[in-house]
Amino acid sequence: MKSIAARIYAFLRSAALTVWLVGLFLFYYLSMAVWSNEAFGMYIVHLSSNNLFRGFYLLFLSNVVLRLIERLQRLWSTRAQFILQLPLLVGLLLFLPALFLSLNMRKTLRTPPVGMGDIITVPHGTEKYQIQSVEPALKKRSLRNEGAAVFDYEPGLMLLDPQGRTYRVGAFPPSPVGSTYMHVLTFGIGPGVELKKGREVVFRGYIALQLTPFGNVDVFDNSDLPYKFYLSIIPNSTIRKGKESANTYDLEKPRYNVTVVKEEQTILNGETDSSIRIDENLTLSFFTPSDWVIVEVVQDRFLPWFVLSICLICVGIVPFLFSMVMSKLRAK
Amino acid sequence: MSFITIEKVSKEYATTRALNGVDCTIGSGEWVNIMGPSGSGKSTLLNILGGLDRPTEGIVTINSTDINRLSEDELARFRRETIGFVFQQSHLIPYLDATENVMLAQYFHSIPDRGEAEEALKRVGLGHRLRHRPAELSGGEQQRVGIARALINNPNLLLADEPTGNLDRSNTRNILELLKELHAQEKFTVVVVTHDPFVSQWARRVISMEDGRIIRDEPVRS
Amino acid sequence: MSRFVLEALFIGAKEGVKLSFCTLLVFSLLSGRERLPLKRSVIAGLLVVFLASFLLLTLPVTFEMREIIVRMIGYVFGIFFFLSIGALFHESGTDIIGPFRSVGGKRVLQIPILLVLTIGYFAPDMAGSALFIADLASMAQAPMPVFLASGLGFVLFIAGTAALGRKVQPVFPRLFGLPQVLLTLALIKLLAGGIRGFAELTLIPAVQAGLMKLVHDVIHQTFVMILVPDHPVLSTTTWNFVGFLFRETAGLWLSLILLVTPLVLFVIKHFREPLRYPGSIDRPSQRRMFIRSIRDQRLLKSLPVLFFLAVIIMTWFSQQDAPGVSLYLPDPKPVAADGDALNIPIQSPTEDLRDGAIHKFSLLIRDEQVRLLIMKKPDGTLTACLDACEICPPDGYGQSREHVVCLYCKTPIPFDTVGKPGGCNPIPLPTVVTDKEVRLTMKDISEKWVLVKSGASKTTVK
Repeated sequence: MKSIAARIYAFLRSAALTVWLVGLFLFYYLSMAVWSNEAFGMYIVHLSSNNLFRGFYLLFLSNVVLRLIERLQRLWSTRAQFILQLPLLVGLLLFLPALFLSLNMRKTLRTPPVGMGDIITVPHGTEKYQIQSVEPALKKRSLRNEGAAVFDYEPGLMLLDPQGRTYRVGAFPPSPVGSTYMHVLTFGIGPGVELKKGREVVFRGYIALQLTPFGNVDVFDNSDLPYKFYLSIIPNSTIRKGKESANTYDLEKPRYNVTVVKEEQTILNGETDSSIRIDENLTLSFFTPSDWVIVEVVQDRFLPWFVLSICLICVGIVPFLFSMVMSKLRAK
Repeated sequence: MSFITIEKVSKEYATTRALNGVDCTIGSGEWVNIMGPSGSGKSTLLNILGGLDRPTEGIVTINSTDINRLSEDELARFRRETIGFVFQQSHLIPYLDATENVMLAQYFHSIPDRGEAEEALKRVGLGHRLRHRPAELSGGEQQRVGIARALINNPNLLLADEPTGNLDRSNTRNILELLKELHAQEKFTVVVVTHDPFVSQWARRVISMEDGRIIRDEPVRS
Repeated sequence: MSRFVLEALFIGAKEGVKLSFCTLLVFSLLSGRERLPLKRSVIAGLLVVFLASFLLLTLPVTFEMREIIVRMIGYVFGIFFFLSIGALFHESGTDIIGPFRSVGGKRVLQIPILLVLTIGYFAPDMAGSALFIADLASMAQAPMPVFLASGLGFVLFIAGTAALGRKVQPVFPRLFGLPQVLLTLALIKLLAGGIRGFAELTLIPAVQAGLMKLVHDVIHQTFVMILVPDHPVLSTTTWNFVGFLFRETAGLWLSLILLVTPLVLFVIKHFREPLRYPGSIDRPSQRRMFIRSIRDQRLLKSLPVLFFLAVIIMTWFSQQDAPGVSLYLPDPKPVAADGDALNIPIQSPTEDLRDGAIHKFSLLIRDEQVRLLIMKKPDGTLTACLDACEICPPDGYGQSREHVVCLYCKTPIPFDTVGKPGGCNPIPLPTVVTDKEVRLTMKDISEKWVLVKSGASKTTVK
């Protein structure tokens, strides 16, 4: 009995097992990469859904953990080396289980575009948060030239929980909110749109469109109307000085390029910052746009361990290499 | 069983015949001195034994290898692996210290090994002179370095051409005592060319030459 | 002698040299009577490959077939590359066969494995060359001389290399152990595996792109895991810390490191393999001799690895803008003429011809599909051409960072020279550009299209 356990232990800690498992992964990766392209992404998906992949990963995990522990034990006698190699080795010890647990236990919600007043409900839970305000990523009035960044600021939002506590959530790093981590994935401008048929308002509200970077064309339609409306934000004005030029944008009253398509035929193309007549009866008007964000809500208690492991690995690489070089020089 | 077999070896230069049908055998582990006046052909014979020169006629077999049949490369390898040389001048490299001079022989043989070189110098009594350059050593010490260098690659055959020619009597005795001690330990074959009768006393056998011929080959009474 | 015959001769010669050199390499590992069955297995594999290649000559060539073959070559490269690393680990002390030792040593298993590896290794290149020769034959006025020339080149160079090889082969065991043979086979695929022409490095950009994709995938997945959003919304400070990871140069360097690291480890591991002294050594000088001989052996066996290492590093950066899988290849949009006029709007809801990318359009002229290419040049002008040149079959063009690249001959054409006639440039069309549209005439397009179709080298557009 004891000998069987010893043999299993010897197998689990063997370098041959490491080589075989790495070889197996490479074979899998190569086959996927050559024949279906999305190799690494597929591997990550399999790791959180397929028991065969989980099994091989756990085998690799136990192999690496045993070998790392043995290495740490060996290093203990030479304290300087132990200290120099510790961050990287501990980082690796944490990384592999944290990755596995994070992938398998994480619950994620990506909200649809949300704006001020909307409610965010956490996945598989009862916690609810109301968006008090959205911190825009763009100045309301700006002068931009061709090389300008897409956004001026990192976007954010303020949340309010039922107990009246507020939370500020930015893009990075994610903020702990209740049992979750939240962060803003992307930011956009939702034009205020009013469609009027004669005097009847067919639609009035904000439409979350992807209009950034400026010039980007996005489309919306209305189920009651046979039209598709292509919008893009264009400069309110252009300032030229010599060969240089810059555009001004006023996001309180943006100027839109509007293309209206009916049955694949363009029936109108024009520019406006207020309203545009589409046919004898239908008018499209714009009012002050609103800001929207997409928020990622994640419940993952292993995330801090995962982040810590990556930090340890990044910090530990240089002292590890230094220690390896030193030990080689000393051996000579 | 003979280690060296010399059969009818002659060597002719443009106008002279340095060796004239020399026949001789030398057993493994033997110490043989070759004596004779200048021009008797003893150094020529030593050069042929060492593969530094080739005979005009005859066969030289060392350790069952007919060295005349070897190509230049094979001969060089054979010399490197089988033979050690000690000359009248120690021919040490002046800008290398004693250890490095010995390591040079290791380098040409295989790879240098400082520890082993230092050990060899300690065995010839130069443990206190490891980092000294030739100019900082006496003639006797230089010759000891030469012996250490000759023996560092564990040759089966040591060829010495007037090894004590530049030394006084006391240093000569020391060097020969050292060679005797090393010979007793390592059991290599020694061939010494000398014209000094004092040196001959250390050998077991003396071959006398004159005009390119062996005129006498007799054991030495201890 | 026509260009096609000459090219076929070269292709045959290339395959002949490759095949005989690789076979000699493998045979250097299989010396001795007891390994004769393994040699026979390799020869059987080669025969299968020959037969399959002959069959392939009779099949119609499709673009998909070429694509599959290139992928196969890449796949074989990867498999042999990793096998060589595994073999090195095994030879330098890490027992990776372990429990399979008793099974792995059996001839009954070794023979089919060797057969499959032989077929797998040689088949893609031979198939690629067969397709290429079939292509040449279809373009030439008389196909038979093309087939004969390729066969002649193949046989002559097999015989030549084999004759030369007999003299060189005794050196092989000193230079090549099993890991070195596997690595050399892999690297021959990387440097000489391909389906287009004599001198080619078609696989390097593909391997580069694959490795860069891996690097970017790993970075992307890590960022997703630690909840880093898309970069436009990151603050400048955060972006300054992580932005370098997304640059193309980072991908290029990291992918090179990924490819080169196993080779460097290969050499290091090879040199650090512990010495096992034979029992016959009892003198220090013998020990030194032994160490020296092992060092010499290791140095010699590292030479092929170091050679390929140098070649890979040299070609890595020179090939980064070369044609490969990373070319931008937009699908042509169907357009229709209005009488003799063909007007293409500069801006539509879905695209803007002035965005710097190439835009392709297709139209029917007398039941033939003709492709057009429109792009904005660095001087700001719009230029319209046929998506074909005067000298190559009309495979069209892809776009790399600084060039449009002929998909047939891989010639990169700087953006500035697009719209100028001659050579492998896209055939320019007389164009009127207004502020709203690009105006072409069907008469001009038809006239220029004749240039694409004329000449012996042309096949009709599918």
